Amino acid sequence: MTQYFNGQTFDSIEVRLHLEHESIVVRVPEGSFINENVPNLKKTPQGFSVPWGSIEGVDQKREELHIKLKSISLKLPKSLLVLNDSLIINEFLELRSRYLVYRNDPASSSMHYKWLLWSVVALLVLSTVFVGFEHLHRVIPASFDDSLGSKVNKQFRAFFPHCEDAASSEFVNRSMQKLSLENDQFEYQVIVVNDTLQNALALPGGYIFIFKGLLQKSESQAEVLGVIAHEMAHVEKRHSVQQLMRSLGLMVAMRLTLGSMFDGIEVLESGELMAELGSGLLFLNFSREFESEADVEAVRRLHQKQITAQGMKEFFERMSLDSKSGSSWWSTHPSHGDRVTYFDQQVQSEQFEGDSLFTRAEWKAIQNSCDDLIDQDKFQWKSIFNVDE
Amino acid sequence: MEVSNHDVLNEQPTVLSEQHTFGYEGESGALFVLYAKTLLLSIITLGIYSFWGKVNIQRYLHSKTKVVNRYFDYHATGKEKFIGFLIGSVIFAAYSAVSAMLVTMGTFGSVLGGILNLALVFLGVPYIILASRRYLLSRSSWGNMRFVFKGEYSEFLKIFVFGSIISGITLGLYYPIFLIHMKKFLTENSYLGDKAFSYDGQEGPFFKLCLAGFLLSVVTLGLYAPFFAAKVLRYHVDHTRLGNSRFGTTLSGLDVFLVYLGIIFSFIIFLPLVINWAMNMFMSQLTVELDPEDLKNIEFQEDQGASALADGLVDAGEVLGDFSSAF
Repeated sequence: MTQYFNGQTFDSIEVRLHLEHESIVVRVPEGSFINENVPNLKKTPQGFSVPWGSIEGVDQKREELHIKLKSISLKLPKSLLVLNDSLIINEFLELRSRYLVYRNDPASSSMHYKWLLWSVVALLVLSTVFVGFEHLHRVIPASFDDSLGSKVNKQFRAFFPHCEDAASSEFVNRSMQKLSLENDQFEYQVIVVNDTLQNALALPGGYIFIFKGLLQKSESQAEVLGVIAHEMAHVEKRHSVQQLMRSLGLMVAMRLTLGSMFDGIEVLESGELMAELGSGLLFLNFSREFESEADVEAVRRLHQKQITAQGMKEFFERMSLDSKSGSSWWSTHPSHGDRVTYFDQQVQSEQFEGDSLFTRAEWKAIQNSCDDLIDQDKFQWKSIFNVDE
Repeated sequence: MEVSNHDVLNEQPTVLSEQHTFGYEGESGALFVLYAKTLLLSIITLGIYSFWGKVNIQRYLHSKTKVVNRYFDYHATGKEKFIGFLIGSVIFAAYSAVSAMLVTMGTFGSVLGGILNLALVFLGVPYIILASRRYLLSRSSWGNMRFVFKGEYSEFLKIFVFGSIISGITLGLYYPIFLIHMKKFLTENSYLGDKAFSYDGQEGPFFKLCLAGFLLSVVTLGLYAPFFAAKVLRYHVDHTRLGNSRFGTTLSGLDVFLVYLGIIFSFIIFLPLVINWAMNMFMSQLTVELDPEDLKNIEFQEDQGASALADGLVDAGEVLGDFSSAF
């Protein structure tokens, strides 16, 4: 028995089906309403006929076979033929495979090679996305770093109390004169922040913030110059932009994978959570890689300017005493121990005597400049910004 | 009472109403394959195939669901979804450009930007809710009869704006009432062909249900949340009718809890299997007390205005929003 659903009325009509080489002939009871929105439908005295090509799709149910006919418009109702006699179903399927080239069943064995091909191409595309974004910074002009950095610089300057006295200015001028190289891509602005934190951070485009605590606690000028060289390396290597491009690459990859499947389904929330966790772990690793690169570049700059890396070594020795962080995959930075070892090796290779940039008195004045230090407990910005070490 | 699979629709109505249970015949393996295909081809085509893939998944879920021996179906196409996305992207980009321009215009620009954002929330969100439902219903069918949504935007806008503001003023206390007003509007403007759905949920009982559910969820540190969700779902289903035929479900809090657990421990990879299992469980507990008279003389109603633009806007917002947030 075959049922015909014309889509116009809810009740179905019992019809007879004749499967021919060119078309499917449907005989309907007299006076039945026929949906004529099917392309190439021909009305016959007993009903209608449609060519095999007017079949939109076939849906195998447990006990029925549903033959959906195409419609001339998406907004108009479609016709449906429901077959529930196994003999007719088999005959239909056999003839259909003979007369019509139709889409393959994705689960069939003949599709296995396609699945393999799809998987390989998909992996290639994902790899290209990652590699492409990894190198995208090469085609982005340096002015992009500056515009990115200058926006954040304005906010930072408004937020951080900074030192503008003579000693601080002298420190900045002479340090940058000493550390600058002819082939530097960016013009640097160094700001001394009036805060007890022993740290420094760099924004893209050449904005470097040195915290007063670093100047005060440092045991030598070389320590501070080393830290500045390290921050300059972040800027020159454009690590912020690289990080941004990597995060974009990961975002594209996440959207291509999870977003392609789970849109509109509330369970996506759990998918997004997993994605965020995954990307977080990846970025920790990225960050460590950048830190190591910045260390190498800092040493190169220091040595070029005849400044010893001993200061960098001492800085991390002191940091390792202050914090007991060990090396782990979760760390955002390489361990202090590893860095001390690296700088120690570099110091061993030095074949020059480093000069002091400032006299003992000058350095004392710089360390005591801007002495109205703000208690960092009152100033909770540490938890707001991810300050670089 | 569950009836066997013979065509009850063509029989003479000898009983007033009979209970029919929904069924889901999807297979986890087939659904998994469909998801895998969508994933791989979406990656290869840089996301373009996802519009077609998602339609295929929706079609599978619809076409494997049945009640009263008739199946549901989904008639949207990937092409119209993709076009909706393209148009949505242009609109979203224009909106972003105007917002960015206003930011550079000082205080006046900031005020104007604020007004624009407010307009987006109060005019855009109800449009998306309504147009998205209209599109979904116009592309869905049961027994080859299309659903239709006929709700007027201006009416829904009143409900939405009033409900949002009062919910805000009352710190969320009005929210259950707002929800039930929206539910009533959305249900009562939905049709199977020309047969209207109706909703007889009441403000008072629903408010009590929500208040108790919220408080218990807080007290139990969220453990009660799945049970609360099940109660809300049961309330909505139990108060929905098509003509005189009433729907019902026995879905329990434990069922919803198990689905949550399934999602968490699916680790994304096995999510299609969880979806298949959840569909099976939900549908096997969903019933309709059918008055056979309700299914007689239903006729198709054309909806020329339904479009995929609202869904496209949401997609565009997600994709472009990701990128703009990165900067």
